[in-house]
Amino acid sequence: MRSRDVLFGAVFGFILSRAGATRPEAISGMFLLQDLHLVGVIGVAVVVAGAGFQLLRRAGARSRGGEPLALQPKPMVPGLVAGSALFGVGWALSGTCPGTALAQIGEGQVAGAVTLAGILAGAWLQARAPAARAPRVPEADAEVRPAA
Amino acid sequence: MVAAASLALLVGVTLGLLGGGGSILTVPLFLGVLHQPPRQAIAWSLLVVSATAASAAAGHAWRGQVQWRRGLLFAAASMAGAFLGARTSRLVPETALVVGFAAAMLVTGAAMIRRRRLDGVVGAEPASAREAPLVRVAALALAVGFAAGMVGAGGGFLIVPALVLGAGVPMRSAVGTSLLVLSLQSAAGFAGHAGAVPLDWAVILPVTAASVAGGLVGSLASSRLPASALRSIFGWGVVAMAFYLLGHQLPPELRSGAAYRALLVERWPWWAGGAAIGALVLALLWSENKLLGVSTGCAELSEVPWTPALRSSWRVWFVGGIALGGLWAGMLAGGGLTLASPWVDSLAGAARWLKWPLLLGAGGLIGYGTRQAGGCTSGHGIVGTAQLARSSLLATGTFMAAGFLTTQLLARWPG
Repeated sequence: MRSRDVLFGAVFGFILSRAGATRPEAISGMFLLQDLHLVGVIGVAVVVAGAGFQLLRRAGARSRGGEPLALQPKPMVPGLVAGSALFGVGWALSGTCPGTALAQIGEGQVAGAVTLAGILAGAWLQARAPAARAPRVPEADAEVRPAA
Repeated sequence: MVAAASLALLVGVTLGLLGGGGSILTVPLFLGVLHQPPRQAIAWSLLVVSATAASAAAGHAWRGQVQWRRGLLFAAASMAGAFLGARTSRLVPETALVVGFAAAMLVTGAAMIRRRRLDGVVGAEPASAREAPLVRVAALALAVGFAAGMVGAGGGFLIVPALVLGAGVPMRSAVGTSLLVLSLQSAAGFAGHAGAVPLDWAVILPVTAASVAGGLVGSLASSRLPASALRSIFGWGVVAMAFYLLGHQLPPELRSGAAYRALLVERWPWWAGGAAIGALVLALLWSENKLLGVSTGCAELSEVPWTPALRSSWRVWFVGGIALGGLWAGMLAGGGLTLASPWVDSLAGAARWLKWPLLLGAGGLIGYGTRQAGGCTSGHGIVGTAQLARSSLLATGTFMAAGFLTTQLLARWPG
């Protein structure tokens, strides 16, 4: 159901924006240890989601559609550390990550559009890099897609 | 002006591609980016749309995607309506005009999105192949023309649905025919406004030129994209623009209220923002059985032009939704288009042009790195960490450390 996917995305973008995550200064402030707001945002999000995952798992909960929950850790892939390091450098330089870049575009921050263009180009290149051994579509997706 | 011209180019592409969304986009362009008063913005928009639609319609006609008979009848009837509408608009307060316009956009946007879903069930084109009586076409056209002339919209966003739903024209021809109608109708609407508003050619001409160029590109592209995708994009775009226009009409008293400011203007406290994200992750898992993640969606988005199957991937739509949510937040907070961002500006320093290649390069690192690592802040940092996955803990630790080192180094950079 595409409309619901768009709606979930919109709520996520709205929250990112309201939480102040779309300001590049929030990211630089975090890494300069001057404004730890974003650390708090990420930390609370992890705690709330983690507690929820635990509760759902213990209760043996199923999704609304009656399927077993698609909770699955991401695979340990060969380029994980190197890739994350590259991402960290780009994150610090631009002051934005993929999600916030998208929300920035909606807010009218032209910088977000330029960053996203770079992100798309980078992702496109990575998929064609000879060393790309990481699966492009994680297994979790294959399992989820029939339900979509 | 450069920003306005590049936006006008995009407006032209949209118009040529979808056969609508001209004035919807040019009115905010003149209002918000070029800071013109509403009545002027509306009149000038009609002129720009008329020129752009005419050139894009020529492109469609070249490929035989214009239904001349219905188009001309529609245009004639709606022009009469548009002229009446434009005259009547002087009797109605501007706020009411814009709110009415936005309401019409919301209804149309929803109709387009719903129509796409019907297509999935029925097939490419609906069974309404029976030709609608010409009287009905004329009546529809009169009503559409009146509404469009009243708010200064060329009304392509009403013409395309009217042609498809009311007159049984296939989507692709509806776009071409709508462009023909639009060009004539906008010219008539402009005639109704002309003389009542000043014309500043130094502003109008570059915008028109950029928009016409975009219109030709869009017209070419529309014969290459599937109709259902066109309609979805059209529908969501119209909904987004309606919210944008409505946001600009909010009364200032409401905007300055304490509750409004705390919720929609000031940034949320860290615990509230974090709790909201956590709750969204859980809601997405329970309702859709999907794990939140953005970088995979970005990767899919980068492949969409070559891999049509990805157009139906939920991630691609989710990712588009994020931008829509940013738009809602920005418009409710009262923001506009911004080119500045203190952090990146300070990195570029005196060489201001350096800022854009810098952002592009940083984006490249983000895109390449997150795909190699299999996730970004959302997928690894939040969802993965919350599952205590070893891969995600390692990835999150690494990108946090790399970000910290990079920022600290940059802050200590001499000069």
